[in-house]
Amino acid sequence: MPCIEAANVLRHDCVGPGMYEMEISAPAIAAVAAPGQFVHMHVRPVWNGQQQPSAQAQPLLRRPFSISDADSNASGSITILYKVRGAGTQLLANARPGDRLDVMGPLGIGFTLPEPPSRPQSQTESQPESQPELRPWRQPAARSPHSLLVGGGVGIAPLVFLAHALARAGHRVTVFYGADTAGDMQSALRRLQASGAGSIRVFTTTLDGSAGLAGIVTDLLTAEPSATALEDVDCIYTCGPEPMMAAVEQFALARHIPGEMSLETALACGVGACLGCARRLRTNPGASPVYARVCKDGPVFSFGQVELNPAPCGEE
Amino acid sequence: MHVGCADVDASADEGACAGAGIGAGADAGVGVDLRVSLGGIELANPVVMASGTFGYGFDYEGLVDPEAVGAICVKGTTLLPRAGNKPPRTAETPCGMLNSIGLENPGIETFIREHLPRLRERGATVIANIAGDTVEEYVRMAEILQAAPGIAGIELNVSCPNVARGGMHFGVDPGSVHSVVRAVKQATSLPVMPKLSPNVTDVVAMAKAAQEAGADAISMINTLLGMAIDVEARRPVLGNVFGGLSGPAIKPVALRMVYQVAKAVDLPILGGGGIMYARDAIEFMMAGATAVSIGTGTFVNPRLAIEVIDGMRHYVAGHNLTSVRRIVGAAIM
Repeated sequence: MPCIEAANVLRHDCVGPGMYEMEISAPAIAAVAAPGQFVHMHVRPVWNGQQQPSAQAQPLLRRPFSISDADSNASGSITILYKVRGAGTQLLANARPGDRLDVMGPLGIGFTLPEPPSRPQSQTESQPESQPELRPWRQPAARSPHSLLVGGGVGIAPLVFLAHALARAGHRVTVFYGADTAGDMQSALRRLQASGAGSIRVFTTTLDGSAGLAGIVTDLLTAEPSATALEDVDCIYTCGPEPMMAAVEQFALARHIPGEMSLETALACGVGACLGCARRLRTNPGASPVYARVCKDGPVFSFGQVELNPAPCGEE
Repeated sequence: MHVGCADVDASADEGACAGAGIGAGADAGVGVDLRVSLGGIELANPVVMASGTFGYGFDYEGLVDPEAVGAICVKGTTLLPRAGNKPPRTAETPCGMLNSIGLENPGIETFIREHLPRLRERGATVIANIAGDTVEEYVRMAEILQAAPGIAGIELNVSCPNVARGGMHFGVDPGSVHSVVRAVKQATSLPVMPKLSPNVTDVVAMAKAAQEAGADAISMINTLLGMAIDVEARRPVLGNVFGGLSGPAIKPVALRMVYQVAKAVDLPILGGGGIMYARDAIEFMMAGATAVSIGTGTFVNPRLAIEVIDGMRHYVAGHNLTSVRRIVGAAIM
C-alpha cells in the first residue's frame, strides 16, 4: 500500500554535471522500501505538509525516482540520485534543505534477492585471488551467492541500495559502474564503499577515461581483470540506458545466468491504475501483443521478459 | 437541518478551495447530507472516480478506499480482452496530459469474476463502463451485467477516442447514440448512462438523443482528441499518434458543455473534466451536474477525491444549506 509523506529535504547536493543527490526524511517509506522500488513525487516543494498541487503549476504530473538508499534506522530517510533531463528535474534541482516535497511510495516490485547463503556448497569454483578482503562473513567451506550489478549513468541509483542489501545479507557483490566522467560517479562510489560490509567490489568505466577503463560499462564484461571476477556469478542485476541493459541481458542469457533489469519510463498514476506505462512483453513471433505495467508489474523485470527499445529511453 | 452552522464562519469558503479539506475544521459539516441520485444510481456523496483512472478500485487503497467515494466507474471493459495500444501511451502537456491507452482490459467475464466480488465485498458502488464495436456487443455486455450481482449502473462508453471502433464513432452522431442507448435500455433494467464525447460540434444534440432513447443519466465529458510531436525525433509522441487530452487544461470546456446540456435536457449529469480542487467540483455542480467525476486529478493528488468530499461538506455547511443537492444547477442563468 503506497503512502504519501510531506518529506523534508535533509540534504541536496550537486554531485556532478547536472547530477543531484537528495536525502529526504520519509520514515514511513524508508521503513518498508526495498531495493528496486521507487517513489513518485512532485518536483515542486509544498509547504506545511499540505497538498497544494496548483492547476497552474507546471509540470502537472509526479516524477518517478528509484530509491537509491533507505535508512530505516536513524532518521528514516531515503536518498534519490537523479540527472537533470527536463523541466521536472530542473525544478527539483532548485529544492533546498528544509523544503518539503510531496512523496508517494514505495512503489513497484523491486529486485528479487537471491536465497541467503545458508546452504554450504562445494568449494570447487575458483575464487578471485586479488580480493582477500572480500567475504569476511563467509562461513568456512561455504560458497555464498555472488551477484553482479551493472549500472550505467544515473542507472546506478537503485543498484547502490541493492548492493547494500546484498552485502548486508552476506552476499558477494561485484559492481560494474559506467559514467561519462570520474566526477559523475564520486557520490555513488562513495556510498557503495560506505556500506561497511567490505564485500562490494567495484569496477568502473568512463567515456573520457578519467577513471577506470576508458569506454562503456559493458566493456567490463569482456575486459580483464573484471571478466575474471565474473566466473562464479550467480545472478546479474542491471539498470541504465536500454541499449546497455540489452547487452547485459544478452550476455546473461547466453550464459544461462538469471538476472533482472530495472526499466525507466514516464509515469502518470504510478500505482497501476492508468495503464499508461505499458511495455510490450516478449511473445512468440506473430502472437498478439501482451503488455506489462512498468509501475506495478515492474519496474524490475527478469531478463528475457520485456521487448527492449533499440534507442535510449528519453523520459525522465 | 442546519447542521454545523454554529461552527461555520467565513473560513468555510476556504474549505471548499484548493485542497484545504483535510484538517481544516474537521468538525464543520459533520452530518451534512451529501447524498445524490444519479438516475437511479444512489450515491452516498457526489464524487465518482472516472473510468480508466482508478483501475478496479484498489490501486489507491489506503489513500482512497473504494467504499469511501460516491461510486467508481471501473476501467472501460469490452466483451473480449483487449491488449491496448502501442506505447508510448501518455504524454504530459501544459496543464494536462494525453493518453492513448486503447481500452486495455481483460474482458467483461474476467472483470465480473476477478474484480467485481472484491468491490462488492467492500460495499463499493460500482458503475460498469462498457465499450463495443457494434450495438450487439453493447447489448450482450448489458445482459451479462444484468445477471452480475453488485452493479449499480452502466456507463456506456460512446466516446473513447483511442480505438478505431468501439467508442467514439457511436458518440459523434445523434442517431448512433440513440440506437445504442435504446438497445441497451431494452436489454437491462440497470440505470444506463452514456458518456458523451466533447469531440462534436453540438454536444446538446447527443444529450437529447440519449434522453429520447431513454438514458437515465448523462456522463460527460470524455477526453478531447489531441496530439503531441517530438521535434527531435520528428514523430508523434504517442504510439497511437492521437490521444485524449485530460486534466485542468480541459476544465473550462467541460464546464461549458455540462452547463449547455443541463439547460437542454432533463437528466441528471455526472460532470467532470480537469477537477483538481473541491471548488472545481462545486463549479460543475453549479453548472448542472448532480455528481462529479475525478480523473487525472487523482494522478496528481491521490487523495483528491477525499479532499473534494470534505470540501463539499464544508461548502454546504458553510452556506447553511440542507443538502449538497441544493447547489446543483445553482449557476444556471
